[in-house]
Amino acid sequence: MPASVFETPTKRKAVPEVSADQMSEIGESIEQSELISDRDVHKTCYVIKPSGNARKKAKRSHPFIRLDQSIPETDGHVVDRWTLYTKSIEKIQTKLESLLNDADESTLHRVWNYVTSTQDYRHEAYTLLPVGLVLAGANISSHTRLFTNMSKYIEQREAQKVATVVVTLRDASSLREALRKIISQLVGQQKADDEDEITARMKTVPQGDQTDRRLSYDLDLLVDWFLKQESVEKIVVIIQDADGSDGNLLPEVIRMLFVYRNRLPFVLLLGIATTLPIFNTKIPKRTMRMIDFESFDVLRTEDSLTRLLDEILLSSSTQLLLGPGLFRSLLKRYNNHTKNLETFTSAIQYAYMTHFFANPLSIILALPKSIALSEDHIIALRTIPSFQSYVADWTSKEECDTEYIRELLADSTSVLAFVGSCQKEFFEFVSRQSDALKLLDVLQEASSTYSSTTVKRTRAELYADAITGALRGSPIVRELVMFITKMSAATVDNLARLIDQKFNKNSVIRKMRDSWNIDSMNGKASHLKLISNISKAMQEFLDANLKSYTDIVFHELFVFDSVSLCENAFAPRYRATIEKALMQPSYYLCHPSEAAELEKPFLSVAHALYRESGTLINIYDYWRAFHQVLVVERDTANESLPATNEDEGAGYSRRLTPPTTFSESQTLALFYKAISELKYLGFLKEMSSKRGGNKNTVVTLQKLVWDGL
Amino acid sequence: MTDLTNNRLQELTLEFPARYNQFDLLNSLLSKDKTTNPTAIALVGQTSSGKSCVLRRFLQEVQFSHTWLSCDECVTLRVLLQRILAALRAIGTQDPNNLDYSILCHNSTLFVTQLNDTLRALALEEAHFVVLDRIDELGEPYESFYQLTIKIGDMLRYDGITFILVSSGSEPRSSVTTTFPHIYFPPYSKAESLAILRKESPDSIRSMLGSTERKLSDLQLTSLWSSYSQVIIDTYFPLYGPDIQQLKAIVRRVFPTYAKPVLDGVVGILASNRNYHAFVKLYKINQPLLTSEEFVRNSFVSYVQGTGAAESTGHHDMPMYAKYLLCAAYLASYSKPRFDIRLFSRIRESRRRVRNTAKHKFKDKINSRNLAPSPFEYERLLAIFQCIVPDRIDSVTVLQTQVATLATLKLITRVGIGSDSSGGSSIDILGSRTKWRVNVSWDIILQISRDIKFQIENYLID
Repeated sequence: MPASVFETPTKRKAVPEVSADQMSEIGESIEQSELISDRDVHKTCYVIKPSGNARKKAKRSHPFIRLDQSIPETDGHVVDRWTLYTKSIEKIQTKLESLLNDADESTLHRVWNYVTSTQDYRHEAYTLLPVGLVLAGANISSHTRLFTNMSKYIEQREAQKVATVVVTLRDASSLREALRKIISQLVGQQKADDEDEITARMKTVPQGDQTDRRLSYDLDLLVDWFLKQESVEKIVVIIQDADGSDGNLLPEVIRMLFVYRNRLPFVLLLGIATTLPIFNTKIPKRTMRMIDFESFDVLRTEDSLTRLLDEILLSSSTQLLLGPGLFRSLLKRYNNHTKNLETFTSAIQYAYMTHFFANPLSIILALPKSIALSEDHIIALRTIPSFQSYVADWTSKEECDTEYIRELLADSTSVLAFVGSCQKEFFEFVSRQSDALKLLDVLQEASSTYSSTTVKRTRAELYADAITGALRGSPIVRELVMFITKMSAATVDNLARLIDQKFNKNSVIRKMRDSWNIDSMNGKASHLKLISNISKAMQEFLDANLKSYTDIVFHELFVFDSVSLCENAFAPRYRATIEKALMQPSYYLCHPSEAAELEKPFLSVAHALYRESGTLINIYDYWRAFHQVLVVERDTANESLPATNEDEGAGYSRRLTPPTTFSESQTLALFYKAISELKYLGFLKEMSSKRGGNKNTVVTLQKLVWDGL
Repeated sequence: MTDLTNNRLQELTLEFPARYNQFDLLNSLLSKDKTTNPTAIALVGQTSSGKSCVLRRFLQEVQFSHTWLSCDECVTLRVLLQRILAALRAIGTQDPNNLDYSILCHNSTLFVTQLNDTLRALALEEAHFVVLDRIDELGEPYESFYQLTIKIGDMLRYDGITFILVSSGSEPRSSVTTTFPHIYFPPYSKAESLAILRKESPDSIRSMLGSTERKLSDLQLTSLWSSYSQVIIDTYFPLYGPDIQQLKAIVRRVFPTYAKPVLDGVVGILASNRNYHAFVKLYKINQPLLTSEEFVRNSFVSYVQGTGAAESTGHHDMPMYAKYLLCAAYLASYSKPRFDIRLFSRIRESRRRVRNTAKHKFKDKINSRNLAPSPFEYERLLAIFQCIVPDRIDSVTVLQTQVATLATLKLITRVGIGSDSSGGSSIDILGSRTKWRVNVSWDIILQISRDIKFQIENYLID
């Protein structure tokens, strides 16, 4: 067993000494050098104690470890990486938090307005139950946060005047439970047990010598409570999962609230995860007639995604850029699968984590602060492909400054200085990209009034193409520049206004726009001159700024683009893996060169037969086929490989190699084992069927798993 | 001996058109004398045919001692029983609003015992009536209780109490043959509905309009109102029939918009019904109002679009593959597995024409879209999904989360084993044994398939 396995922190945590001592009473502890030998086979458990000098258990406050295999690191380096990671993640988290809150804020405000604007329940015209439909989007996981915020928001704004309660109907199986939830949360009593017998006891209401044995779902309790509250004017009931409720439950709840509308000032807010047309089909018309509704749209997530891009990925403080492949895969996952901003950011966090955890050179990002780099770091820096190709390019030039190159290759300080300058270049690149993307956005917006046919592409969609330089000279850019050359005076004004809005005063584009002198323009000739100037300037700007990140030397340090790592972490393909393991066991069991010699495990044989059969498999036929395969295979194996069995060195394989020929009872046992394993894996189901007039039941197996899904 | 004279009955009929017989029956059946009353009577008839308000008015008129209980407020029968007892025990106490809820009955036997005790304690001098309004809207099955109230007279040792059951549903089967007084409220005819709508007083009409600059006289208002009621009745009576409450709601909702041209002075004042010219002009202006569904409010969607508010689709879209999954679920539910190879396989051979025998045609005559969706296996859903998505998806994990989301949103539902309402974890919901069923209608699937530009019709055999 390689020693490096014991270096991982998880292993060290997993085998603390105390438990090791306890364990040793059951099984004998073995030294690491003694590997499991045949005499230990009967034991049920083993404790492996690493021999030699046990590493000092330094108390660490972080989970990062030293990556000694690639570059010998000191603990200081590890801490540096950890702090870099935590700092960057903290920044992202706070930004994300504010972003999400801002997105909710406007909706909350509108909902609050609606709640306060509903009529007084004693008013004559108050005949319908006011209902607010909050379209919160299909991302269910964020709903709890949204509706808790909503409840808090309303309560804060309307101190004491509004009582709010948030309930989910998913875990309420009946109307009684739903009402009990609403009442108990409002009245503030302890949640009664599921038993109906336990009735509500209201602590707030002095009962005298009478006992109140009303049932906990009796809305009269709420009426009594409401009469005691002097300040409360509205009771807001927020149902978080209105379309996740079962069958008739929501209409029933609405009916009950409607019945009590003249005694309790209810305002109902329904959280809808699907769309209105779908929700519409779930509410009977009878219920619809009881309510007066208004719908609220929570802010689109696409806008939030653009903001996320601006403030987190392409902001001035960005130290690590997400690579195009990774970003594309994240965006695809977002659009196709989740539509969830939180998962998007957690993927970003994972990317950062991976970078700082696994890349010892990531401490470079602490520049321009001084960092203590070891000689190994410098050597590693020189092995980076982009640096190597830079040097190669440099040397292939005719007039090459060999001194400079030599210095870079020999002197560590000059390399560091060069890395520093590259990082500056990278920062420059990020801000230029950000500007260019914003400009494209503005141009698209200005042109959208001009031609409505082209579909607007958001910054998030353009990002990946932009940083690889693929946008330079692409159809969309050409089209937009073309648009500039056709602009009318009004459009120029519009464009100028948009630029004023979107860019701050010090930016390059703003300065460019200031140089246009729109006001002094009169006459057709000057207009034409102006727009040709503008288009030329824009073209130059875009060409200059839409560069590829690969042009930057040491871009491997600043751009993280490991697609497979993130995909494997967030979307594992376990089904394909299991199928592959069964169909081609050699892939996992041995080296490709030995694949031909590997005997298929019996499970795999059974699976191969399984794949060849129809939906229902007669168990006898199945066994016959299995038996046949085993006997034939064994025979051919015996013929072709007579020497293998006598090979003394192959101890392991000899022990597991079954006898040369099989009797029927042996194959039957193996067959049972194989199909019970298949059953355990969920491939099969037993069933007995009576076919036709046959009285005897035929035991068959039903296929449950389809291939290749 | 009756409490109301015939003259008084006639007066009441003016207040409640076409309800003379019902008042007369109530008058002759019920009296203050506790010995002559039946133990229960039933008022039956369609919704909003005036049962409750006629009864209320009658009890108010004759000043009988009574307790009014709305059964639709009671989630279970136990709540109702408790309320009946609490209300009865409060009779004659100083503070009738301070109810004593110390008794809780779990079944009808206990109830009868408690009722006996209560009646003994009360020792009623005069008859007392317990009105059980909307008994058919009790949260639980009410048949046995209905039966109980009819027969309760035999079980009570003290008389003086009469139950009045007001129900708009059909009577429980078991009590159809029992003899106890029924008062039937026939649905209002068109003319009667119109008469009821026209009874609105000028003040309440004015309050409907809110504060306006231009003041109309009482006469003008009633004239406007009467022509307006006629229009509304002609428009909506075929749709709502004699549902007076619904008609009233519509009348109130539409009226401010309808009367606006008059208030703005666009249309001359309608002094009398004979001013046809003004009426026709007003009607023409308001024609779109009466043909649109905006005021019917049967649906969230048309209302939202009608007011020009945000379009409902597009903003909160489901992820793209969730839409594909939903389409796949629909296809799995509505196409038979035997057509699967023909529909989804890319092998040419399998696309050969299957002989359609006359027998088949006859069998499949009902459009399958009108039938309930049939259950399908999870594997089949995945297989169809893989056939219809444009690119291949390797990871099942992400799909499973989406299936789970769709199941939480009740867009697809589990059938068979473990399809408990709470969605409990008693069974592995992604296991291959459970069957699923789509829970979305064709219109919505069509809309979704348009969103993802997927021609779902190509995959359906109709």
